[in-house]
Amino acid sequence: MPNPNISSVLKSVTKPGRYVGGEFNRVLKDKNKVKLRFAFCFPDTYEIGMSNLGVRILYDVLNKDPEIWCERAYAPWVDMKREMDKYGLPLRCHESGDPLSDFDIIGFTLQYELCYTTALQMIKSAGIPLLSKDRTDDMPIIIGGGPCAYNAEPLADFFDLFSIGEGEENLLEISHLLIDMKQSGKYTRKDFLHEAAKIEGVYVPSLYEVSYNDDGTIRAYTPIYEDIPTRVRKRIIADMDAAPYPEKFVMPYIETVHDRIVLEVYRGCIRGCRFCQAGMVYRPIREKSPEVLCREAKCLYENTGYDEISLISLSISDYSRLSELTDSLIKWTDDKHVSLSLPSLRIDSFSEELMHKISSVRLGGITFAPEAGTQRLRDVINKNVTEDDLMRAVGIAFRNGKNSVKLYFMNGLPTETDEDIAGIADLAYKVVGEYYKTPKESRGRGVSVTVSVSCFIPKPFTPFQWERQDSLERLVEKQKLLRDKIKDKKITYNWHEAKVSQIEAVFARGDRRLAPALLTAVERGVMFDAWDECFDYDGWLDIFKKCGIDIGYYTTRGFGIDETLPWDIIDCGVTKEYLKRERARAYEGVTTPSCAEHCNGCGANKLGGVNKWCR
Amino acid sequence: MVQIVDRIPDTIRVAFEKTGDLQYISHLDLVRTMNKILVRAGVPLKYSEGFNPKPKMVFASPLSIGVESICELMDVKIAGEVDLQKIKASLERNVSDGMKINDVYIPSSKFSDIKYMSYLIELTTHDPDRSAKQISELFSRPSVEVIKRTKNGDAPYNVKNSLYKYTVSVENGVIKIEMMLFSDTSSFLNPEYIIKAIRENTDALSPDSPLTEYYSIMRTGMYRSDLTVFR
Ligand code: SF4
Repeated sequence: MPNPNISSVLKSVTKPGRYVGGEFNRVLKDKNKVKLRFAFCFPDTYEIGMSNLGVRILYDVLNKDPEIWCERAYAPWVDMKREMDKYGLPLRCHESGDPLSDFDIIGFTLQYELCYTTALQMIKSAGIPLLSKDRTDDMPIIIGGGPCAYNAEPLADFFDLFSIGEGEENLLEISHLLIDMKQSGKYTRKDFLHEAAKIEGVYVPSLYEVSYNDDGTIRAYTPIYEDIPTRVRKRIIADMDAAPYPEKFVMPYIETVHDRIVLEVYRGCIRGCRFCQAGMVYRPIREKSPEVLCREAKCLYENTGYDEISLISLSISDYSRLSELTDSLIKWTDDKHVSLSLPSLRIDSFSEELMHKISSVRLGGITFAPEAGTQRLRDVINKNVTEDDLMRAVGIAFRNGKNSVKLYFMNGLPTETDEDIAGIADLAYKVVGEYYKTPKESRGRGVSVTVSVSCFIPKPFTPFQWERQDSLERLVEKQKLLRDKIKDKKITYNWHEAKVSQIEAVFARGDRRLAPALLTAVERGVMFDAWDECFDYDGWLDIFKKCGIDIGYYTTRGFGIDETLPWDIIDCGVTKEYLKRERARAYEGVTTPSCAEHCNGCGANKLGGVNKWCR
Repeated sequence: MVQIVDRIPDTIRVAFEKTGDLQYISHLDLVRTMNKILVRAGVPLKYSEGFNPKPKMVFASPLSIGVESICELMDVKIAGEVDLQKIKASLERNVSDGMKINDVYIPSSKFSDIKYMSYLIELTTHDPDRSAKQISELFSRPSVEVIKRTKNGDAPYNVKNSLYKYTVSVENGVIKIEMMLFSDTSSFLNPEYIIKAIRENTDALSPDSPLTEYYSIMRTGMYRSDLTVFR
């Protein structure tokens, strides 16, 4: 049956360019000549999904395999979803225009907890049963990956398997196991999942039984087969220089969030900020060499025509060969009108030299993340940045004509007092003061300081994973306290909605018992929770109430230090002993040096990988 | 005798098509896309001065979302000598479905000389013969008013003021409207308003059955005041 003509529908929705595909550099293959069809799904809008580096890398890796054709799908925005539901139009992939149900594997990248309902709505739009146990042998295998897979327990009933860690090798192994089993005629969903669970980095939730203690906490995870691992170890790519990297990017016609060349400079992080999940789960640090990065940049420039190259990593200034890299890039980028951008600059690395060399630093906004208002609290979270560092950095910016600075902070951090909150305001005032200390002739006109404050969420696999989240009331109180302290018109204060952070915390720290809430939410049409215009806090409270779920259990309770955690089934490299040690140091207010100074024995070294630091 | 040497051209004109799914791409997005196509094709672009240098491109007439075209024109400022055939070939290698490069040449005319544009509207609707009659009748009236969005807010507009000539026919059950619209700024009309007039005054294109009733609009030509093809 040919696809229906949906031009009238497309002409009636906002940004129809989101849905049409046809992009330059997309991969087309003959579906009859490949052995496996993979639908790579991003559970958010096209503009956000197209900007994701993980999707770009894995799309390339899968399509380099002649037996596999990987296509892309994104979540239809609310207006399009309504039309699709009304006229029974299934969700389709961009390349072939075929519905998701035609595929062998549907993979979701789970970048943030608030995309869970969107992912489930996409499965529903494909006409596929939501619960893994209801799916039959002729239906696609649904897999999840990305940062949320480190604790995907709330999705355990919906997904067939999770790929834990870096997916380049893992997804190919999973795909080829499926190809082999289907070709030999021995394929059943059940046998496949059993075999897949033996691949390192694969977590099949249905093969682990969870038992609970009387107080509701988790007693144990028990594998139902003897030949599958009792803990699933994450995968890493050992040698980043040898890792595949796309030579071309699919070129969106419509404007996307990060519409530029991105170079992945290294994986992991040498810092150890105690609230940061990425800094722990992406360990150990593995760098790429400037030679490889330059080659990739040149190649991508020729194949995309982009006029901006962004150097991506958790903290770009920690790259041990940064000036070598920028120097060799600038040799050709300036002539070609290509600009370099360095997001994630650390306060202590900001320099006069960088400002002059890097156009984005020269032209763009200046953003720093002190995260906490006092040195005491910055030591607790191991931020390793001082007030002097900040004043020096903004001083450089002001002396070079900058007049606006953005500062990121967090509310609700462990041990936080009202004094720490007041410290945020103090710091903002001091930054304004630094502007007035700058000689008139070299500073720009009129200063503006933006203070942006998010709410702390105790994330899995961090030294703060056991901590309690502040209650909603307390968070709002703290936000008000800070608002009252900031009176200066030159300082703008933005805060993150505490209600959103609370729901996010529930799912970040959640377990399998949240499944009924997600099911109910999907039935009620909930999706795009990360979007202000779609997030419905009261709706969520009602859903939790109806399902008998106490959100305090996941948020304000705090987890016992010896409790079995929902994510203990996953081994991300960093050991629990290390996290406990770091937690104790946090309470003593003692900082921990970066991996570049000396190895702190976090445990990630056992994963191997080419790197300079791990002992 | 002094030989008159042609000055080195600083502009090339690209004639291209934007059809199929590309009709859903806005003009602004087309500009960004073209920018990258030109870079990939290795065209020696001339950039604007200032902090944020951009290539200099001018389009004959922006297309609205939902309108296809087989006759688009774009002028690009170049820096240095070019081989037009080579540029055409490399542009062709760098476009995707829905875009086609028809010609690359040195322009000898100004876009302001464009006085008319022709469009082909194709309508698929439940009773084409009846609707075609209604449409013919509608456009034979002296005035066909629709509410038009302008800078100064919504206002009624007689679409006949923009309509130079038209024909309506039915072929294989599809209604075809070939029409020529004035294109000077004062009477320029987004052909989507013709559809609006049809929707509001005939049985065609009920919003309740979007999967079986639909239309396409194709810009087919640009003309000078003497009705010769603009190039
Ligand atoms: S093993 Fe040592 S050097 Fe390696 S990531 Fe852990 S703490 Fe850092």
